[in-house]
Amino acid sequence: MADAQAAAAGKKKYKNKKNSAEKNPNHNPNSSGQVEAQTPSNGHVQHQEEEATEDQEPAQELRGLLKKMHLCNGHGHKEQEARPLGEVVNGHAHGHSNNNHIRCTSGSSNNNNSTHNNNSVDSSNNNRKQRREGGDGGGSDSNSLKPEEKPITATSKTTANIHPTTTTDPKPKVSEDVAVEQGVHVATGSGHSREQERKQPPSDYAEGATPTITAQLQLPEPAISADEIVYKEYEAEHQMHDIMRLIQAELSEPYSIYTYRYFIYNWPKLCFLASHDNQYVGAIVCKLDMHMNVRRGYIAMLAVRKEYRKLKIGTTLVTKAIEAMLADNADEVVLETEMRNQPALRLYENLGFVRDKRLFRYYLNGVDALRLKLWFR
Amino acid sequence: MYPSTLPAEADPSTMNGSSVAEPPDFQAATAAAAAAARASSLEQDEWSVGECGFLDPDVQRTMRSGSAAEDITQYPMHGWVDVTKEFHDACAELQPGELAQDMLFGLFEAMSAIEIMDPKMDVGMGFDKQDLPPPSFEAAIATGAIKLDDLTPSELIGIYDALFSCLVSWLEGNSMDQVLFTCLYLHAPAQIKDKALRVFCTAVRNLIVVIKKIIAVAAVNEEEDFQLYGNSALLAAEKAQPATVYSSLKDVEDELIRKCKKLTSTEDWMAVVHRLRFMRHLFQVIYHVEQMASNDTVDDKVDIYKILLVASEMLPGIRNTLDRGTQPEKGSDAPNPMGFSPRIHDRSQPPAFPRSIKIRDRPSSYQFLEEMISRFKYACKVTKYKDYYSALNFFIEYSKKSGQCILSRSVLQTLFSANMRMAHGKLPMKQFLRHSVQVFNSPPVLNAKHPVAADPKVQQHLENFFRYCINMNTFTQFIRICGFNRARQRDKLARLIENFDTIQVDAARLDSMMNQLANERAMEGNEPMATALKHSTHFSTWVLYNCFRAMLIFLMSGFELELYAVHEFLYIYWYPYEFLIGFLVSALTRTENILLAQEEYAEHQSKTQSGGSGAAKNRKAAKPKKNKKTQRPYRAEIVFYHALLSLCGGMYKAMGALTKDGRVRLPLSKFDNEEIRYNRRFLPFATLTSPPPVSYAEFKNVREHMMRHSVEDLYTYAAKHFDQARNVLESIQNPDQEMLDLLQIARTNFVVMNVLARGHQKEVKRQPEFDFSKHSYFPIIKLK
Repeated sequence: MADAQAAAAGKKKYKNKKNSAEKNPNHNPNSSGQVEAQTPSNGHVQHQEEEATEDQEPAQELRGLLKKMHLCNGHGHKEQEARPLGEVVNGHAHGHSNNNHIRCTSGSSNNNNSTHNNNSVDSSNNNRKQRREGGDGGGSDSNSLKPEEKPITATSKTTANIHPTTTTDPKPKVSEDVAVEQGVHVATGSGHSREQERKQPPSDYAEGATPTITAQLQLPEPAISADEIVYKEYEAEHQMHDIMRLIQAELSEPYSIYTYRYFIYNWPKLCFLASHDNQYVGAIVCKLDMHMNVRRGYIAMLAVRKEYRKLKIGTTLVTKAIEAMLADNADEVVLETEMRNQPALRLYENLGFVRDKRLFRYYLNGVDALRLKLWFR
Repeated sequence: MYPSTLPAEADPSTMNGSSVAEPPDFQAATAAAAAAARASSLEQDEWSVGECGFLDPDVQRTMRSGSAAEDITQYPMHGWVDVTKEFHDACAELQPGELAQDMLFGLFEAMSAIEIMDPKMDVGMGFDKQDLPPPSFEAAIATGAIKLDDLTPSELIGIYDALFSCLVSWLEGNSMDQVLFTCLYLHAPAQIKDKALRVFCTAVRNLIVVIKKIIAVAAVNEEEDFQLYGNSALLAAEKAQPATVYSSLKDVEDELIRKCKKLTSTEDWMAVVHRLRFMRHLFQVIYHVEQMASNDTVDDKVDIYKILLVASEMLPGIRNTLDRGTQPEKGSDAPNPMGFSPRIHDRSQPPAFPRSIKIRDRPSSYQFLEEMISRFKYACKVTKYKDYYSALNFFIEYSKKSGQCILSRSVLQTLFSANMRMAHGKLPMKQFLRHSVQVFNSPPVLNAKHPVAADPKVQQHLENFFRYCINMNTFTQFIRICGFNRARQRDKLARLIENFDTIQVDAARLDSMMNQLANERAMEGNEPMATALKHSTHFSTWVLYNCFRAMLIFLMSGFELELYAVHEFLYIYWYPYEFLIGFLVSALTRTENILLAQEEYAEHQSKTQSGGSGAAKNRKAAKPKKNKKTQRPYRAEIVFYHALLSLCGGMYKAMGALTKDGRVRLPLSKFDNEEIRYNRRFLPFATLTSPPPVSYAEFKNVREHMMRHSVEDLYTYAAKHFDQARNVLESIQNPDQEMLDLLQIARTNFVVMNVLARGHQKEVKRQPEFDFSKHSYFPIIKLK
């Protein structure tokens, strides 16, 4: 029975993937890479503003409605919990209030563990950097070469950093440049024209539809349910900065963009994203490699936004990653996490991971780590 | 100069940026910002390159010491070339997300890149405009930040205490550069004029060299324990002369004591003397151990213990005068106001290193040193244990108590055997093992007085067996493994256990040959020799016992390291209960029986020989009484194993009951596979012929059989096991702390099981808490 349900779930997930794949071809021909890079950022900013507005108005005008929303939210939670119960051994569709409370707590912990786990994974990667540096020290020729390469890398990152800070001021210059360019390169001008056209409709849409958006968005926002979370694979470069921003928000250690590129460029099919209302709220980054004659999957990063806990996003992301690694003939899946990161340990152990090794002083702050393993053969 | 340099550099860049014609594919803002960033990068490159980028450590130090003023106020300027245009042209060829890579610089190598001016990665960003670069030794002298002469007692005490704190932080695994060598005085002790400070700093530098050598030779260090590598350039600046440190310290002590006699107020100077004396004795002990590691011939070990006693006596006086020295300033990372520069080595560290390290405070540092001296004293006792069985027990016990201190573990390894070829510095390891088997179960073929020992065939077989034991390195590795930290021990035990199989085969073959020889001698009519060789299992039993011991430690250490999920407790406790502890008891019982039989045989022979003499009878009649006292040397250990057996049985039944009762969280079945987990947990045992592997199918059958009982019955069975353990433990005379702890665990779990058997919390199925605080292997089961 559980297997049948799992199979059904798998089928559904597969359909979702197809939909996502179908969207891709339509989206790409419409615009150039640059435009793609810009649009999500703008949308993100606008969405944030809208969210702020929503947060204020309901509090002032719709207190009664909030209460109803809260009840609705509770109902949603029950629906969510019902499904896991089918899989869990308990088998009680409707339990006592205590049981409900326990399940809510568990859900919270599950999501919380995703957040904590990221710090652990990040520290883990940072620790590995340390070791690589040690190795680098051994080769003097290699050292002499690398400094020459680094400036290019750094500048590339710097360029990337500049983009998000673009504001209204540069626009006039852009127009002037476009005017100048048109006289020289007609094709380039055409590209810029498309960009301008794209910018106008969103503005009109936002202005004209403000009342409608406010009215509509009031309802679903407090009652987010797991159904509204959309999961998909990594697609293209335009997602890179969103992934970085999401993971960096939850971690305290510096990750160079090249750390993300190393994993995502090498194993793009092992990067899964969770989004809600066109915002990324969760991400998992993995790799799958040969390690001493074993085909080993490795979970490098897992991040879920704090506001989206209790929705099993972390568990779902890990499940999708494991399924992808199994499909690619993985023999085992491995990760490290901090010894005392109970939420992360609970998430992974619930999926069947066991603690294979204890690693003393694994992290730079002197904390022990546990290496968790899930064996498939 | 640095603050003014930045604006001057930035303005021209900005102007250049705005005046440069933009390439067609870039926006003006992007180009301008990129140019500005590029200019900033240039500045950082100048600084970074000049400081440590391209130059080897010697040149770095030369540049730093070239001019004190220059070192503080500015960094070298080089003839940089502006390549902004070339850079932009190259970038124009790349698509979004496209990267350039080289055969030697791909995605993996790119991860090590440092993003210039990133506040978290670029260590140079740690400086703000008001924060000057940390001063070097020469710069600090030039500015008067540190004194080289006429230090007051208060200043000396402060520096001494801070250096001991740095030493302890280093022994705990921190980078030498970030703790010890933040002390500028250690960079060039020869330049210090104050004699008391100079000899102390020289002692610290020599101590560093000697300690590193001890740890390296002992070879029980891992990267998480201790960092063997550091700024070797700084350390090599003045050659280490450990042999002269002792006398230098002694001279300064005597000089200060004479000085005290002329002064009226001597407390502060005596505090300085106490610290010098403590350093002298500590250094003497550690240097002596290092000499043992190097020469393997020094044998006056008694001195070490006495020296340690003197060092211990110094500590109360030191602790009482901690407040007499200069104290660290609030908010500062430096362990002392004068002489320390916490960020002096920031630029020479790999970027992944921690930005800052909290150096231990002074009271806890002296506490650490006191405990380390206690461990050294305890380690000295290893010289009493002359056979493998007792030595191994000592190492196992020592590891439980000293697991966290790398130097203590290394010292013990050195005291026993610096190279695992000679035991106690005198006895070849092969001889040590022969002696160990003889002490363990006394086979006649190893008894030089017994005629069977003279048989050439017997000697040849024995020689082959023990040479094989040495070549396989299994027994010596077991002792060395006890020197690693507890987590690494488990990994290495897994590999050790797999090696036992070949030695088991060889031991069995040896015993088989002895039996064959027994038959040959019997047919020849040589009854005494035949009897001695008959039914020989001495070597197999000895090997199996050690193998079982390693297996039990490996399996139970998973609890100590918190590696098992609660739902795994069932089969982890089941295996020792059903198999492993029984094997240990059998091996020890068989050994005792062998010894008893040999005692009886020897007694019988002596009576026969002395039948004709009345006087001889009277003399030898006294022997049986003495022999009886040592007839059962393993009784205490066997009783202890019976207690463990009952505790494992209790936990096994308890876990069965709790699982059936629905109180144990099980993993989701989507990816989990219990059979694979089971096989992986017992993987190191899979290659052994004895004991034979137990398949998952067998375990499943046994569990299903157990689970047929009702939950109440299972709780009751568990309670009986715990009660049985209590009975066994209470029968032990002179119990040690471990036995008392186990007794409490058995009593408490007995009560808990009975409570559950009577239907406690039937409506609420919550997983109990398993509290391992009393014992590493067995928890107290707590209901919530």
